[in-house]
Amino acid sequence: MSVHVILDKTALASYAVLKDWATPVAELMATVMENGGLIGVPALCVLDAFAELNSAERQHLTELFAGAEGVAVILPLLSHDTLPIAGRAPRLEAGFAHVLAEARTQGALVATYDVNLYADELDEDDVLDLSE
Amino acid sequence: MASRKISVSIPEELADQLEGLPNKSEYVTEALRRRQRADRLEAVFAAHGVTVTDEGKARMRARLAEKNRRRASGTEAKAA
Repeated sequence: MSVHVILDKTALASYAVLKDWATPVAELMATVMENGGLIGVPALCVLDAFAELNSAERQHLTELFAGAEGVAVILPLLSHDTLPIAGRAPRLEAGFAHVLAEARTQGALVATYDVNLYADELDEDDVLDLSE
Repeated sequence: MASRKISVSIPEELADQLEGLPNKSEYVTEALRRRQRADRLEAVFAAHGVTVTDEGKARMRARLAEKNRRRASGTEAKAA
């Protein structure tokens, strides 16, 4: 199975708060699973999201990852991506730089609630706007 | 991994489909694993009060298909 879609920090955080914003993320995960693909979550996005969430919201993400075993995978930061990602700071947050690296490596769509973050980096067809 | 032979009854049309497959056990195992993954995911969403509807999945499926179609045609255009 290959990674079809990458979730960024905005998607993770939106799921974690469990308001209306969680539904598109859940629909996306269920659809990708039915299509026989995987959801990829860059490790640095998990760190960035957890840093901004309260303990209850973190718990939601922890439960999501547990329940999504075989559907969502955390993508580790690989050694050859580390310096290029570090080199993009401070202009680009490390988690977003990790998303870009994985989007290119995996050839996957990026799912986000903030398409403007990727306007200068990715083609609009490579980004799925979860707010639509 | 240990395995066990079992006997099950399934509808005729599915039995016909299964008969034509080279590895029936692998096919059924994968189908069950996929169902397990779907059930686990659904249980988490339900516990979190997040509702995923067939309509919502259909909309998302269409959006993904459209994105992938455009990405594929963009790749072809770049290659030409």
